[in-house]
Amino acid sequence: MNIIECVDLRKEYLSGENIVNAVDGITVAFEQGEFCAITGPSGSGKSTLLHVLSSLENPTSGDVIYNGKKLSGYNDNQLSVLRRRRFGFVFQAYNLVQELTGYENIVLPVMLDRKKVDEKYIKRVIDMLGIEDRLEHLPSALSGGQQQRIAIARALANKPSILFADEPTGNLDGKSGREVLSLLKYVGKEFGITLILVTHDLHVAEQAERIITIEDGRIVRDSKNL
Amino acid sequence: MKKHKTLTVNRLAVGNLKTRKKQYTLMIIGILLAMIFSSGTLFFISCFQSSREEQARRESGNFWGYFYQPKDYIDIEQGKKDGYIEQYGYGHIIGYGYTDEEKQDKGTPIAWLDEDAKQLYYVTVLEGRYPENEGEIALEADAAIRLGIEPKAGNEITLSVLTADGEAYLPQANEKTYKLVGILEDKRAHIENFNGMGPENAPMAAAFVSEKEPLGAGGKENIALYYNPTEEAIDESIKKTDEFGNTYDVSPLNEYFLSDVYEKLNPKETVSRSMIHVAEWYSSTLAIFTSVSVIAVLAVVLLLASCMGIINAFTTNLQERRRQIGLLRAVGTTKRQIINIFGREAFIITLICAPVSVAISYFAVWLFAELMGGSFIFLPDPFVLIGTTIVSVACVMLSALIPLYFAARVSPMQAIRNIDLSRKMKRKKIKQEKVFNAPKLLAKRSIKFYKAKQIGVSIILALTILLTCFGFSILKTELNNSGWDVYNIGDYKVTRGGYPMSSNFVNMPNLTGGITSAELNELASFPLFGSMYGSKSYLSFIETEEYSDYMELLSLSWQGIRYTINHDNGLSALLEEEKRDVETLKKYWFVEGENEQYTALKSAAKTEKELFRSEIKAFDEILFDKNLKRFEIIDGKINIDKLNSGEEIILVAPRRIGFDFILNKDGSLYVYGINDVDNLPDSFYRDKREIFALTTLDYKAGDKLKLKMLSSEATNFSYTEEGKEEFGNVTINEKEVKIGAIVSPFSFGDYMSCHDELNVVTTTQGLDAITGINLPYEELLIDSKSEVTEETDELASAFLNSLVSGTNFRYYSGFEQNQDAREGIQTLFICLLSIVVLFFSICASIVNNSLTAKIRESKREIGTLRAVGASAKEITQSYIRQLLSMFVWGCSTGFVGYIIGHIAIVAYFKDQSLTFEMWQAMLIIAVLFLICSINLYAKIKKEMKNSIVENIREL
Repeated sequence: MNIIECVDLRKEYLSGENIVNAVDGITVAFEQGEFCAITGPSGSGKSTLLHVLSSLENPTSGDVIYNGKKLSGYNDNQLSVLRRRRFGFVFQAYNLVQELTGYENIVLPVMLDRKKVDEKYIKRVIDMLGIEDRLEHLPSALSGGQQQRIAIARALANKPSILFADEPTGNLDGKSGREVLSLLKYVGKEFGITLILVTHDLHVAEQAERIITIEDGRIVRDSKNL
Repeated sequence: MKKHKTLTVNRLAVGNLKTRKKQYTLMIIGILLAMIFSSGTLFFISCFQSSREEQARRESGNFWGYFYQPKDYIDIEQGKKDGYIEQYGYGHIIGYGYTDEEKQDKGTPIAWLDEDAKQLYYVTVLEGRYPENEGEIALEADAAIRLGIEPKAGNEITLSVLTADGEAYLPQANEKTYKLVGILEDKRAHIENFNGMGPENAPMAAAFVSEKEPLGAGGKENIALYYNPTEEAIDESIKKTDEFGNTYDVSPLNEYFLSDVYEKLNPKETVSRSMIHVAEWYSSTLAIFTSVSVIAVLAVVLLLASCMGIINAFTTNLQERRRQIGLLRAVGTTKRQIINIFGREAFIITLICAPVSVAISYFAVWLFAELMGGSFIFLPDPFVLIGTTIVSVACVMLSALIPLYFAARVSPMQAIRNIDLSRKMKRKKIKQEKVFNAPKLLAKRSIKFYKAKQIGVSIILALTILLTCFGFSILKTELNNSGWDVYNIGDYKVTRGGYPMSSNFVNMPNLTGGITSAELNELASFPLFGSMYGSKSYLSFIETEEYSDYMELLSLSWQGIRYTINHDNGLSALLEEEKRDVETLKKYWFVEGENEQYTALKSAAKTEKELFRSEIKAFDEILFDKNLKRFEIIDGKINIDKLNSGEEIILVAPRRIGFDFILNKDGSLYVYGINDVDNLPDSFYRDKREIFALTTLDYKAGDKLKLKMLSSEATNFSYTEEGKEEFGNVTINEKEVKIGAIVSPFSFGDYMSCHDELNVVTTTQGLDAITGINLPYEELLIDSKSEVTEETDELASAFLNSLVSGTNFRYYSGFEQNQDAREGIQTLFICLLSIVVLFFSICASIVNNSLTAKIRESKREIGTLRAVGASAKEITQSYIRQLLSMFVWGCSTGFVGYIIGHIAIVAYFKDQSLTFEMWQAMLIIAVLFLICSINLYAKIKKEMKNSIVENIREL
């Protein structure tokens, strides 16, 4: 079953006086629980595809369909609710809220949703990510790898159905990168979350079950990695 | 090959400006506003100063002094030759005009002025023109009304004219018809007040004719000379006046100063000082601002606020460009060069902003002066213009240096990676919250980490509150003390001279005095008049076994009847005395033993005991109701019912009194008198004042007083050949009363006061009960049924005028009396409002600037929050909470500061009249909060319009 899909998705940018087609008519679907890597050279439009898919950006045309519903029909508030309940994000630059501690960052989406924290679940996530001793620190006191783990925990806090990761290992050294990646893969499997990951690193992409390669805003290859 | 231009600091700065237009917009607006504020402040002060001078000129003329009939005693030509006189001109008084024989004293001298005198007199035409031909006349507006002439140019008027005779006027009046060609601004009434002389003797005319106007038969012009001394003469006199002040330790006296100028004018004889007039220094309506220091303090506060605005604008801009600074530093730019590059930018922006802001503020102040009209003028003075521009540019450059210096001090890596914030965060201890309200927690943390910014905003808010509160407090106090009270308490006041109907010792009910019951009925029948209330008084004596020290000491004041004053007292030796008590003081002050008049009084009062004069002042209950809280009660309490029944009275007596003086440098004493030592009247040398024979009051609430009241059947005062008063047939009335309360001497407006120690105060009903007679009112206040307008005031004045039966009956119209005061208060109000608005704008701009910058800085965080599911509402909430926190801190500091300041001022200056005003500041803060919230919402909305990706993209 497709959890998220897009149909003839286009995203144009104005670069100076030229129009750049970052995403140029992509139609693609993702299944529940699948781990897919989107890869391609710099400027190919892979990140843009992820941003549009995850509602961080509006498409110029085409539709993103989540659970059979078109996102174009959602207003700003509904999209906010969707993001905090159903989507999780992991960014290359971690994007933690600097004024909040590790724990506060993790439970932020739950708090925004005014829900009760599922302590057991959060503890499991924290244990899994090995960050129990970093929870009281502010992000500025954490290393890159630790920050990214917090970011992953935050992305998982609301038990999302899809986790979008944009170059999650891009800012990390080899060892931390590998650890983060295997964690992502592990939690994806463990909680049955669809993991859509953008990377230009082929070694990272190879970890995925499915690899989509994009060039000039178009899918040039969509293969299962067996 | 393309030739590259050499890279200079200027080119780099200009390049920066061109490429980062958007980033600069905020800063340019900030600087523009701050410059408008600073130059506006300076223009406003210049406008205020010129308006004040203009007002003084319009009210009193553009001259320093005048002499009447000067040819007899002064050689002004020689004075000019000697370099003491700058300019002089002659007023030629040809007659004295009036309309009604009965009210001859309401007329005015008629004069023509030579060209110099016209300039010095500063004739201001309100309507029509100045007379040019024979038969034409121009009148001051107030004089026209007094003469019963409609103040309208073009009318024909007929005056009875007494011809001048070179000294005064010929007795026979001639009817003369003039064409009224102009209405002039009032001047004379002012001068009359100043001199206390009747209009018929005043050397200032209120009616002007042309020089072609012939003098009446057998007449001779009365001459008035108006003059200005030269700067040198003024300087020299000021020096002398200072010397005088230093020698005698008293404040320099204006009169002394002018008489010194006079002495340089080759006087043929000495004139009385009242002939000398201070025009330049006299401006009643703006009295509160006469002190240059007040203006200077205000200017400094406003300029500082402007500078804070500039610092804020630059800090914001430089904060946004930390990375650029870091990069420049990383490639080897020195701190000095950084300051140079960014300072150059600031200078270029300032040069661009300067003409625009100066033009805007110049126009704004000009418009303000135009809209205010009247005496508000704004003179285009190139010095002010250039000076203001230079000061504004200097303000910007000096203020810009502060953030520049701090920005340049940052290390390259700190600047690029914002390390100091990370360090700051590491240093801060925070309490982790397990469950939280996201907007609230974000706001709380933000405030914790960006404390400096919050403190800055809070300070400026607190300053705005302090300025507004104190400003309105001063305004309201001024309003209360400016005679407005008369307007509020009674719209009209009616008095009759000759009251109280007593000699120095006995009441004389057969003397006419007070307002008769017939008059009272007539007043009550006038349809425009509502409630009436007033005051009465009666002479009494406190009968006592022996004078207490307190009474003995008070005998030195006018209340003393028992002893004869020794005028040749040699007071200077007093200080050598060891015992500084009343007995010692008495030795110097009084001729030994009781005087004969006192002995006669005692025998008339048929008593062996001592008598101390104590007047009973009585006020209607309504006046007590209005002022009950204003009494400074020393002991007991005021019970109106018991006052009404005559059982109790209020005794006016300070707790401690003493002989109050200062010792001059030449060894002589400057005596202030017997004063309440805990509430010494203000004086220039308050701290040097000494007290001799400090004496404490020995009465307390609950004590009984025996009042002895003497009344005589005599219909007139009569004295023996030695000047002793004869009492005639005296009736003695005695009454024992209880002291209900002891209060400090008081003065609530000019309608309810009692300054004299050991006097008795009660209600009018109480006085009637004590005396057993229904005494007439001494003074009556009348409330108008509806608000007094110019029309009703004219009707009321005409009615009151008709009541004048020629026997010392006087009326005062609060409306008329307060027109001047109201104008002054209006001026003050507008000035204050302008300053508050100016400060408000600076404050709003700083708060908004800070928040806008904060939002820009937090762009990425906003993106992150949006990505994890925060909606616009939650993000806005978080920022509004931050704004609220700034306001709460600023407001608490401001209001607490104001309350403490108010209490301190009241306690230090013992000035109970300073009112407590807070709602205006609250209103301003509420509006400010609203504006900032709207701006905040708009800014967040704008950020929300961007996609989340645009928000979180690395800058």
